[in-house]
Amino acid sequence: MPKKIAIMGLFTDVSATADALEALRVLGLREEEMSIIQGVPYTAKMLGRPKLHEFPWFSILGALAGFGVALFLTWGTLLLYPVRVGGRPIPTIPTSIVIGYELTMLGLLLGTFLTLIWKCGFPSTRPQYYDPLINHSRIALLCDCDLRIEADVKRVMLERGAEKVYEPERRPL
Amino acid sequence: MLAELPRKFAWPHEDNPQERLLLDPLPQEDMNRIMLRPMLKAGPAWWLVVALLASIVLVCFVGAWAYMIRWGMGLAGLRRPVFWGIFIATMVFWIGISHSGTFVSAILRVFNAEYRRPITRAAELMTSFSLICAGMFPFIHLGRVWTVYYMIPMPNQRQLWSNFQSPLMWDMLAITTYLIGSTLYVYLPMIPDLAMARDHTGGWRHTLYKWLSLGWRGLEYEWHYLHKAIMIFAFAIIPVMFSVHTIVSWDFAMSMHIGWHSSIFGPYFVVGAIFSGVSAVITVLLVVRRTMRLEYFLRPEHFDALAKLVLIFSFAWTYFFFNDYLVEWYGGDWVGHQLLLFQARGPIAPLWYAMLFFNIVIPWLTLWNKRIRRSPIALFLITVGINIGMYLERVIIIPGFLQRNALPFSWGEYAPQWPEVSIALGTLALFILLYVVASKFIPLIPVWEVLEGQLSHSRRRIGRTVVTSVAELE
Amino acid sequence: MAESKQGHRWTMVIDLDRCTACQACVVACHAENNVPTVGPEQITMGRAQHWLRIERYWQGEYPDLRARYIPVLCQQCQHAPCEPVCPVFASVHSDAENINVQVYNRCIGTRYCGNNCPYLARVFNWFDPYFPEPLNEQLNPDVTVRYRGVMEKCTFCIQRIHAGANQAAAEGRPMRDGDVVPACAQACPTDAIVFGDLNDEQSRIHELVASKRAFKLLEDLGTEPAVIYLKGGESHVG
Repeated sequence: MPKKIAIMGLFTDVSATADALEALRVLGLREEEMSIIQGVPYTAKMLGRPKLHEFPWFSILGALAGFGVALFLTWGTLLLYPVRVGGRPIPTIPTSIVIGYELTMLGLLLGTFLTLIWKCGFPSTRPQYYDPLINHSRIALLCDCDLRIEADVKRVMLERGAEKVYEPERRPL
Repeated sequence: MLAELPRKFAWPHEDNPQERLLLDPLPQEDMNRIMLRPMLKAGPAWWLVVALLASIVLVCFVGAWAYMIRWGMGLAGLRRPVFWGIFIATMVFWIGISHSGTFVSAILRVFNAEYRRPITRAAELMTSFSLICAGMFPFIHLGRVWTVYYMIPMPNQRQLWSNFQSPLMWDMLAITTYLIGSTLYVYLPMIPDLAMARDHTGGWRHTLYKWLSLGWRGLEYEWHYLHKAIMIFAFAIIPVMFSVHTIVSWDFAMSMHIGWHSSIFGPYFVVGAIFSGVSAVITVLLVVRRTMRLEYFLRPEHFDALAKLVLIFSFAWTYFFFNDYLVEWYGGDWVGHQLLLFQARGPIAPLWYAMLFFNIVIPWLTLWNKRIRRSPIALFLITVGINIGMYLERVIIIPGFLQRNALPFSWGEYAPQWPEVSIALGTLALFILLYVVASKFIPLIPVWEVLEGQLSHSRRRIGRTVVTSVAELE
Repeated sequence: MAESKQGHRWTMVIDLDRCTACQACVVACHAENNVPTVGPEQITMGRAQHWLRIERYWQGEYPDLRARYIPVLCQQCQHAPCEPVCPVFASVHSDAENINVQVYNRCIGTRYCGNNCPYLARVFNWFDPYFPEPLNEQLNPDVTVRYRGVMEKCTFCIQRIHAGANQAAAEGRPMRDGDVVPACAQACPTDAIVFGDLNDEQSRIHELVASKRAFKLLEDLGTEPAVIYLKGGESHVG
């Protein structure tokens, strides 16, 4: 018998959602056991939730990788296979700066994109807890709670103004 | 399936608070409906336009190019000393247009200009499509396009790498970076809207949006990472945008050729690109607004703001143009003076005066006026004129300047031939075709960003008046 | 490469006092290097394909009209502006011979080198070459026939340089002045074109280069050409 159950409450207003979150905290639910699904990005501050802090490691790594590739292409290839053009030294620094800059930026952008993909687990086609009504001005409060306090959780959500409280099924998106 | 629009939207002339999009909220489902409605049906008019554009692309672009590959570059009007002509001028033109999207969606975002909210995606799409059009030309103008892979730096048995000292290699990397960057940058904020489309469609559309939205649900951490990624992109893509057109201008500035070898080309071209790009955004948005009935989202205030930007960039462009001109006129050498005479009195003079007319005279005479800035017909004509003027600028600089050099016996006239005109028109048709087709699949308005904006806007009383107040959400 | 050509500095001197603009050098270059003729329509379009051309400038008013002329060819610059701009290394510097080398089968036809040459010395193959019968029987087997889409220019008859080097090696001696005579120098009836190795102190070139009449075309551009002109009395340009 499962010890935990998922309960979803649909709210029409961000204040009501924040109230409900607070009440659920009083009931004993931890932050990780509650999630908000929303179609408009209400901030963590508005919802009364702790903010996530992340350093963009992937972006920096991507930038460094890009710079490395640029270094190889401009200096590496010319040192390995020197070809003289224009009476200039082999290799030339100013032109390498241009290539270095472009590939560094490309690495930065690709690294940033891959961060998002990786951290969010995209692309995901598994069935998930979701309600399309979040695109109809609703905010969904999904919580993973103990069976023992299930009735309390539902009561608390309805008291705080939930339009509908139900046990969601994992559905394909 | 979709109900009627909640109200009729006309083009109001009064300055009243109802006119401001961000002070005029609608329920989220209504906004989504307004945006989805034109995407879900394709009437005979749309099919006709697509068929027409596709045939122009097939015949004028693909057909002419294939013919030219078979018989040789000689079919174009190029000759010594004018080795680059309409093809390269059109390429630079499209790269200029590509600065539209990044300026509107990145620079305005970084500066917190709230009026950018409904227009970012429509503008960014222009960037991606114009880069695709621009990216065709490095292939088109090659004498031996079947050996273009020689430019790709990869290990090979010839032990030959590409020459990274060449501005053309910088071009290749810069345009690739910008294309990838701006396509990702249009894609990221689109994910929540694609998820919304996924939820409201069925059949093959649902499958398409399901994959494109990557499984987005709208969880807090998803929004958090999306927001972070968008901010990094917005800040990073601005220097990339500046560098791309600077690098394209260096194709000319790095050469020794008179008129080209100018240190001002970098900023001159970037400013010209933003000028041309923002004008093109206005042109495209006016058409989109009318054909897709997006009057709720695209209001006179947006066009007013963009038109002011166009005027500012007209000033900036004139400043750089005059800088370049005066320096050559005052202290330049004999060949430089011949080049100036060639522009002002030579065979290219009508183009030169037309360029000045469209880029300086018309914007300066009209865009200071609020009624003109809010008039769709006037704006359409002015912005199309500006892009004609900017195209002429590229034609003057590229095949024009090449006609004069230090050895007068080797001066030459240039007249574009049918493949050049055909292919240039073909890329215009390609751009429009890509946009028309994309507008059926890609939600053009970022509804969640508009909602975010409406959340932060309110009206409050100060003294005897009521003012708009914008909250800082983050 | 047959053998080492270290230390050659191939240079050409064109004496404008002796040049009569007879165009024999132009024709000889066409014949030696398989340069096609393009036909009257292409000429009208301005696509005359000459590796070496006689530039003619009119001076004065009728009836005191004078023609000034100067043969212009690839100057084989030491700081060649055509070299750094080629994205695929089709235009490179030969350190051994100190001339600019155009590699036909590497050229993808961007034509940037043509734009960047201040002497307009480079020509492009706009169409496939056409050698009407029996001209095709006159093609030089030592020189490639270029396809459409590649740039070409004067090579200082590099095939003759190589042939001279091979001959000298076969005879077991170093190269000497007179081993290499490019087609234009060979054809010139007035001996206006002299070719040789500047590093060879015994060569004719060595002496001519020091002449008080010597000048380089567009010298202030800093391209360091390997072609030196000698000012002539009536016909000088520059």
